[in-house]
Amino acid sequence: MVDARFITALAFAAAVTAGLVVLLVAIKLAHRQVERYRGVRSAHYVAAVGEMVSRGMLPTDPPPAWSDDPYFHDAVADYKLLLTGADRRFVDQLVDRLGIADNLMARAKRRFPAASRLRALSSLVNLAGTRHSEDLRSLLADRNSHVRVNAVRALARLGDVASVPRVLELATRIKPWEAARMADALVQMGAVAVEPLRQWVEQEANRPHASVEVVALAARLLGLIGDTGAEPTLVTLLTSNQPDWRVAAASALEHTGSEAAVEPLRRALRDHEWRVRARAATALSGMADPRVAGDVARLLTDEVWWVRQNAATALGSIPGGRALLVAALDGPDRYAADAALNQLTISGAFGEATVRVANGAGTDADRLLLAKVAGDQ
Amino acid sequence: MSWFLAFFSLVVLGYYVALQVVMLLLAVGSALVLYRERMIERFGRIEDMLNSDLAPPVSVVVPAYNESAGIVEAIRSMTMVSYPRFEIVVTNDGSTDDTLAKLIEAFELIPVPYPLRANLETSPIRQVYKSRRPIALTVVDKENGGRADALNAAINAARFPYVMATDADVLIDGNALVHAMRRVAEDRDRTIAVGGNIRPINGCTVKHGHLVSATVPETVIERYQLLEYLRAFIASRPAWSAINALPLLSGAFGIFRRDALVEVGGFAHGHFGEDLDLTMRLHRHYRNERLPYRIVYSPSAVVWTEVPPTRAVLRRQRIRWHRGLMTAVRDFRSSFFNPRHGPVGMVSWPSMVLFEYLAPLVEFLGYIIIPIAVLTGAVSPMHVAVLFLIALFIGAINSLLALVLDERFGYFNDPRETIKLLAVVFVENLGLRQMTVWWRVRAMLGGKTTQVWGDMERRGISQLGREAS
Repeated sequence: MVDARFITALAFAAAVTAGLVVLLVAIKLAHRQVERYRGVRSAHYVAAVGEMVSRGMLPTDPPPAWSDDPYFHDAVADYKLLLTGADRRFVDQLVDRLGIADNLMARAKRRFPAASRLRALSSLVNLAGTRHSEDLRSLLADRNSHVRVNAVRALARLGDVASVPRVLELATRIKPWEAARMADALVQMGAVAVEPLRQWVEQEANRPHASVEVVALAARLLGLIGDTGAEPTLVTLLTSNQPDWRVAAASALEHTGSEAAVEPLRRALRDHEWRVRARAATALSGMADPRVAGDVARLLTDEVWWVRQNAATALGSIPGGRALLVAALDGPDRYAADAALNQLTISGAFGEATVRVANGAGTDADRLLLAKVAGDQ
Repeated sequence: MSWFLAFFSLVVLGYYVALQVVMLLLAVGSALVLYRERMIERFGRIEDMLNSDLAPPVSVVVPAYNESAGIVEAIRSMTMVSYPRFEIVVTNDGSTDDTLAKLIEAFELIPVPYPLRANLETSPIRQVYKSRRPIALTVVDKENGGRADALNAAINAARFPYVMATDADVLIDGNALVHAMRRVAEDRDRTIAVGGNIRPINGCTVKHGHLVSATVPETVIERYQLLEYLRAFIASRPAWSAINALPLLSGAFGIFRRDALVEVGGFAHGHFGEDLDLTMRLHRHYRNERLPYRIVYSPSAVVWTEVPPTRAVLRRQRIRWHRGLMTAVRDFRSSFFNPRHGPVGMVSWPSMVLFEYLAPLVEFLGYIIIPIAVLTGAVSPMHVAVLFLIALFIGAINSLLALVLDERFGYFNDPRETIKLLAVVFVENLGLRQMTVWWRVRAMLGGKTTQVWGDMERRGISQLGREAS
């Protein structure tokens, strides 16, 4: 006879299998119903909010469920993002009348359930008002990383300049993904964030144990915002002892750099860190100053592949750079010639030279370029 | 003799139960990981990465050999992937058809004297082409050298610090790169590779290079493979990834840090399983050098690929896979129960060897010896039947767990599709499983018919699955 324990095990396995089959089918059916229900509810809310906005009438006796229902919040947030001017202000009034933002804030401050508070915070990003700034700032110390990121997004949308140093401080202690999302939010703040960012970078860069990554990140943010007000700070950072900061500053100056940045970037072309040289060449290409062409051309013989490529690409856009690229074709350095030839081909100089030579108007430089390309093929 | 038969029968049944229990543990671990991933996807602002200048740029490298039928559609579909900064590098690996001509015509390619870095050794390069259109496309035309060689040439031409290795006959989900690169952005210092979730496209509807709707394939052989993919990619890899013990990143979707790839010498030439070989080499290198690293998996980074629709093609594929595994078992014997290699050496690689490499042999011997043992009275038929049923039920539980976990992706909207898969859960043990066991045993035995690559006929992306009308 078979041991009773075997039979029990078999029965148990069979029961679990049957249970999983039922669970699977139930999930499938429930999922279908929930999706259908969500769709219908969302459509109703979009219609209701649309009606209120078009008539400019706030509800006198709104259903209590509205202020708690995430689908209603989504509909209101969508309208708020779509509309401008008086219509947008009307949506803000609607949010206030129904107490939606306060409800969401209360839910976001609760610890459980996590999904519900995170849902509330996602809506708050678009619906919070300035009176919620303090509460949102307190959420920057939350244990949940998603809560912190969404709090920063909400603060950034409110243009809360006071929170910028706290966010950067926080970025020194959190994971790179979270720091990057917070950085994205700060970029969305735009020019108002430049001053606190700049001050923080200057302070932090002078501290003995400054966070290398976060200062570099902040410098990049200054570049992404693209305000010339950040230029003095970035130029100072370009001469720091920390290579990562110099790289970030050179990259940022590409976006913010005015004529005043040309000379510091020119000096950076001689930096002993190859990444700084490569970035500086790229940054200078955007400024199109013919005085730097010779300095950039010298990088065509740099020991690092990336520096040569960036220098060649930069010379393609600097006035007078193409002539230097053609001259490099006949030079003794094979790497410089390769980089120059590639850039001349992809920038269209090769095509133009072909047309000129075909029309009998070709120069010696054109003929050299054509001969080089033909030779390499 | 009778003692031996009884003992061996119990060993085989015990082995089978152990195998299923390991899979069950992996499924439970994967469930926890998938729950965490779901929270991140819902609230982690992954979509922010699409507009972020901080997203790390990626080079998508695509080897192409005689892909004339679908190369243009495949590359067009890849250009539509949502990611802030990426380039596509295609290597025409000495195709004998008009693959290159089609690329030149469709993307207005012009030859450029592109100075390639020779970081990885490859067959001679004939020419490099760039597109005149506003898309970042580079085509490297080279002499034939095989898939690994073509990938290495594309890696040499790649400009960005991360390369995504894929195939020319797959359909990359629009958000796959964002999901995979999110894992990189989480920890750029340590992440050297990210694997993606491969799903069979057979039976799905494809329109203009996009998946319109996912349905369960028509034939049992395709459904069986779908179930296998779900067990591997949904109910197993997330758990391995959580303990940094992924033994394999599939060739159809693998993102690697370029410098890490170059450091281990890129893809190995002439290997039947170059993806397995590369993943294990990365583990071994970083473990031996005691460098911090992680190789992770992103279940939401989905790539759709065609699975063999016929028995003959499936047979060739399975033999090739098992031969690749055999070579890897030989090459990485030093990793087997090697504490220096961490969780890979102590858990995932031994599990791969014991439950993947040896499984067909043990199972095949079981099919011969257990009936003999029952017929000679060495073991009680009731005992065998009950143990066999328990093992089957645990196997079914694993498959069902994979199906339940797959629900989070919501691909099969119609409950009837799930019913079709449920049927396969129970019938796969009545012939299909035994068939693949036999092919893998054949691979171990060797012989001329097991030495072929067995490429599938190229149909092109629009013909993968069902083309929408």
